Amino acid sequence: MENKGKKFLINNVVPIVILILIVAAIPISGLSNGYLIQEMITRLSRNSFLVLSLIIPVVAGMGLNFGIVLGAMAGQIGLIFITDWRIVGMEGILLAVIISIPISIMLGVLGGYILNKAKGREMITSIIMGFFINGVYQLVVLYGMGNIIPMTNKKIILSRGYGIRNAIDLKAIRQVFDRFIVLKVGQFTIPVFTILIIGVLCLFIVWFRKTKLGQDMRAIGQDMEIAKSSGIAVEKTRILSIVISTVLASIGQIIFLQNIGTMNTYNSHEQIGMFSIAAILIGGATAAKASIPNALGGIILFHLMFIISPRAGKELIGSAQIGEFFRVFISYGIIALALVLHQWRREQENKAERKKLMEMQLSGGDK
Amino acid sequence: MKTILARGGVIVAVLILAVFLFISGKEHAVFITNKGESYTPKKAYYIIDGREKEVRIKKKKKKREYVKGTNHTIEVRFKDIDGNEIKVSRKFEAKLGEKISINVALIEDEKRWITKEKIEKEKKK
Repeated sequence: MENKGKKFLINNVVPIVILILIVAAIPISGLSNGYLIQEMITRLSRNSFLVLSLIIPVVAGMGLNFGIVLGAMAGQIGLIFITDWRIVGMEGILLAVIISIPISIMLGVLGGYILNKAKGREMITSIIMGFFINGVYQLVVLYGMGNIIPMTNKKIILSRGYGIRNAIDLKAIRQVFDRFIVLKVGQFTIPVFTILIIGVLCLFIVWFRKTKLGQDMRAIGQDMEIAKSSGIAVEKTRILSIVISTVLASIGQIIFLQNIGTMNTYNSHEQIGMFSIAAILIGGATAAKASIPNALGGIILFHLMFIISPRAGKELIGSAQIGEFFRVFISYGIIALALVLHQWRREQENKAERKKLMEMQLSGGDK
Repeated sequence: MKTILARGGVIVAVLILAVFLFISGKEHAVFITNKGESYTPKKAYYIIDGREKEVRIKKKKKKREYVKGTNHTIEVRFKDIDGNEIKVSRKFEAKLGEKISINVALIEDEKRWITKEKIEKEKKK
């Protein structure tokens, strides 16, 4: 019993610490419960799709996919095109999704192929890959669009005649999903349609894990060599997991930006990977294990901290900036802590396995 | 062969859906003017596609409205030269590459209330 409690504490140390911090900071911040609940509803509907897109690569043993920024870029390219063509409303968002899917599949295949060449170092490789593709994205958007790719909407083109402006107003598709079906419960506004889409994705993930492909990914995640010897196409399956994650991230980025209503062409995608990963880790996920409750719980905890810490910092020290620094420190610190814990656990497991093997060899030698 | 056909079918279906979304979601600019020949109402009011808000347009003024998709309606009301209230509803189509101008003062004239011009692409200097 005591062991169970200890195990639970070790496994959930990150969410527990964050929860304690939040509970302590809520009264200091002076923010009302109503405000916090409404903010949570909005932020859950805005970020869940992106964070949920991280689960499948974890199942396949590829760790936390920092490469979701590739998908985010694909989503943004879709949004740039629909803004240029002046396609508005629900049709605009759906067309952006259709445009972004083939781009994200292409980027996902490329990413999966590269990650297969860097087995065991997937996370750092995916971070660097994100930087590399970001350069290509900037080249295409800054020089290709208007030069090679024809653009007609002067509002989004730089005055020199080519390249996309720094910020794009997405008012034509702003909160189209969120306002499609709205439920008012007391003072709270619930974007039912967006939540339904997230629900469908959750069901898809649950269903997917039970399919043959999902089981193959799980087997690969547990032991790649055993999976290979049992006839699973390891490399192809790993590429598929990255492709699915990238495609989901592109849709997630479109959902995220339609909620915000403006797109920062050259920066919107950059922080997505880091923030989504921080959220899922705060929810108790590790580089080897992630679930839907981890993702949703993590978003709530991470974003509660987002809202509370500047205000708590201001009330405590008189400067909101201190609270903001604290939040940034916590979010990046959590990623570092989770990765260190993951490595520590892996080493402990390896140690235990070595000990077991040695004991087996010794007992075999005695006989 | 079956797989190729199925995948090809999906791609074709998605392309058709994309074209449908492009046409039905395309936003068109419609220019509304209030400039008659023998008589121009001081103020005219119009509603496009049954929107909630009625828009007022003064004499000899021009306004730009945005409409989504192909088929649209415009309802115009103003007072004629004798002070009688005139209310006319018209249907119009907005196609790709066309500039649409509606003259509310001529809304009763079957032929001249709407003009459509082809938009010429700007040549790069």
